[in-house]
Amino acid sequence: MSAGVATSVSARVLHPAGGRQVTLIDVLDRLLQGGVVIQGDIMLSVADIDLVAVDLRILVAAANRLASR
Amino acid sequence: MTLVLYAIVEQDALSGDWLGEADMPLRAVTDGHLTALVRDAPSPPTPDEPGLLAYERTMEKLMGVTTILPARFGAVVDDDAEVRSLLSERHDEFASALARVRGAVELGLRATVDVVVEDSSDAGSGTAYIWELLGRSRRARAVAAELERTFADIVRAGSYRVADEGAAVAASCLVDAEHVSEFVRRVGDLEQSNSGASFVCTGPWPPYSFTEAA
Repeated sequence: MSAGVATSVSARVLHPAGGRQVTLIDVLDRLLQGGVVIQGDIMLSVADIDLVAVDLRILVAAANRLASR
Repeated sequence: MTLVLYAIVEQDALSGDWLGEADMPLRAVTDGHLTALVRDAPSPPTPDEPGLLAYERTMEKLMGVTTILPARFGAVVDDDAEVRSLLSERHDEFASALARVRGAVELGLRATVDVVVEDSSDAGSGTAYIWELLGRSRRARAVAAELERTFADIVRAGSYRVADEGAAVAASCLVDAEHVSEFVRRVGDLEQSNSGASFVCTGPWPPYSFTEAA
């Protein structure tokens, strides 16, 4: 699967079946928008995604690359 | 040094030296019957691809062992004392969230709404484009409602959100482990049923979307 970059996580595409890999977008969606939030985190909002303000450029570039496939 | 927060678990969930045995770079900080799993790091984690995947891998290892409340990527605290006061101040919230997700996993479902090309004289014009957007957005809401109906009896909780300006529905469902295969089967049925969308189902995920009360 061309957009299947997440080769090293266990979560899989369950349907359509066939053991395809999840995309980085699937991972980002959850890790950056879900989970327990603790006060004091420095968060930035870019395109409705709350991103941790450490090094946004890499992340946004990766997301754009995937989205354009 | 800083402490990266990974997950909150019940204090008795990790018996013995489980973290050491599993070669996890985490340690436990406990307050009462809640435990936070943290990693000592020189700096906050970098949100690049390797960092995010490593975090997810660790989370999946943890969810294979016990019920976890995953922390959002990038959650950092200064020291153990801050972790303990977090656990104590938000004890009730964390305890009820752990009860809510116990024995369940999160499944992601993304429905991409089909584009319908109207055969009309103004096809391709700006007006036709606007009508198509409106129509697709309406169809997305209908798909979201259909998903909710389809899974109502096998999910503990679910969110069905119209996304991408009406082009898709993004759903997250909290599903008992024994209902995962039935969930996937119903996704297949939906696709066969001419529902006007195509589906990609992912998981099982740690319950990232269900750490807060609905």
